Amino acid sequence: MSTDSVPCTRYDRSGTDDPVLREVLRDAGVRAGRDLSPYLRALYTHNDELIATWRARPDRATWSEMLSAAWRDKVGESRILHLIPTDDDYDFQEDVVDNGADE
Amino acid sequence: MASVINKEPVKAADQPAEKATLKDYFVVSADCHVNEPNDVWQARVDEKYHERLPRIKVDEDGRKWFVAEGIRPSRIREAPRDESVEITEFVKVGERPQLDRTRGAMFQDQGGITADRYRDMDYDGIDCEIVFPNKGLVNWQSSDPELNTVMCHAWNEWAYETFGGHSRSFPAACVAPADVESAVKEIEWAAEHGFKSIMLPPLLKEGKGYNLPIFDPIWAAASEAGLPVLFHAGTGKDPRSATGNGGAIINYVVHAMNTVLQPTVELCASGVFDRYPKLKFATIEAGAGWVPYALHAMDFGNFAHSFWVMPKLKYKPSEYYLMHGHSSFETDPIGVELRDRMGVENLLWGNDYPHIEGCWPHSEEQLAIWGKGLNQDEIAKIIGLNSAKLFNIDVPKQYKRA
Repeated sequence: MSTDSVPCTRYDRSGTDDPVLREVLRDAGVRAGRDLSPYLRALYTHNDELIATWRARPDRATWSEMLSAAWRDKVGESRILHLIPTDDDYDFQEDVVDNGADE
Repeated sequence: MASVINKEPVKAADQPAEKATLKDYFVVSADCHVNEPNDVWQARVDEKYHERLPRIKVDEDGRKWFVAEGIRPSRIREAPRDESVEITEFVKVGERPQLDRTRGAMFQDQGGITADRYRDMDYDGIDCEIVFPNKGLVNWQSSDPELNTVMCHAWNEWAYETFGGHSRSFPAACVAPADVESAVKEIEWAAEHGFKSIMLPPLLKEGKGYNLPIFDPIWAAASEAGLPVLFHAGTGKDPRSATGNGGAIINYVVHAMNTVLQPTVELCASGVFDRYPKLKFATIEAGAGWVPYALHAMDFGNFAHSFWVMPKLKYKPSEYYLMHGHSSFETDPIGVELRDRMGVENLLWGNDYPHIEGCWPHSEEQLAIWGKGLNQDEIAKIIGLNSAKLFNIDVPKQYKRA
């Protein structure tokens, strides 16, 4: 596992190697004293928001603060979401389009 | 293009129409949607894309979020629904199911591929449907053309596994125009697999437009395959640009419905149809009342700015729409009233099943509103025969008109 294995994607650019996110991931690893790539599924940034997807809840609980601190150092204050994927079904039209005007 | 089907196909139920309403017409809904399974992409794409696919995720406070590349994360807030009411309860006693739009959708789990889908179609009087994605409406949202292409093809594979050879449901093949070469391959794949139309997003990334000759290979492939190009409202760009007061209405009118104006003008003003005279297109779920004004505006621009207009066109822009374009609506008395300014043959109708802004399960009642003043031939064309012609759907003998 290396930092290259985690897709780092910016919403308005093609590719999975966004340099800002890569740098944040490296900085977070320095703060944590270890490479955080094994615990992360993906990093994504939409506008100035950071969306981190973790492999498991304990990983998130242990390391999310380091990632948040590295992000804030790099881009300043913005919303950060630390997420765990689920297999929950959804209706895109009702749950996202019709239901998502405010957030 | 991947051709291996990775998952055991689950076919949609296919049963002949037993319509309860609209029995005098061959009814083709040019705009229906299907709720795909959660793994519509993951079961069919290379593992390297898995962590980039749209998915529901949970934050540290237990709140659910929908996350997909290219659109802002959305917190899932369950609409208040009355789960105690089953649609079957209404059907059993012969009453119409009711949707309470002030409370969110009343009926859940609709729009799937079981026999329930065809019961719902029969209940509303629908013979055939053109099927668009639901989850797959985000197929084009990422800024990465490669991911667009992969997601579109996976959706098409699923649609083929599910509806291939179906007698009533005809999915539109999703095509990602950001990579033109791959788009052409996808159109060829769709034609080989029996699709009757292709779907492109109305809006493109990076400020590009369909007027640019770089897209000519797409028009050439669609023309060659005889597949009409469909622009469904609200795709290609996040339709939720507005937030706060009025957001729901602003997003619906401005950022979803109005998006189809752009490709319509781009195609009619740029000589595409002089180069590809067999190409057909349709705008979907955006109403039709805007069309007569757009035709007038295009022709006025062609006249008033003629010094700058290039290329010089063989016909007026409005005439290209009349020869090549179509527009679907759910209920649009304005568009229908202005039908002589855009051509009855250019109007398509769809019920938008199962979406809440559509007219299912009240299509017959809506016809009484938008169809007021129309003769039976006009209604027959708008409600089905125009779509049957555009999508090459066989019309049963009893519904054919001279």
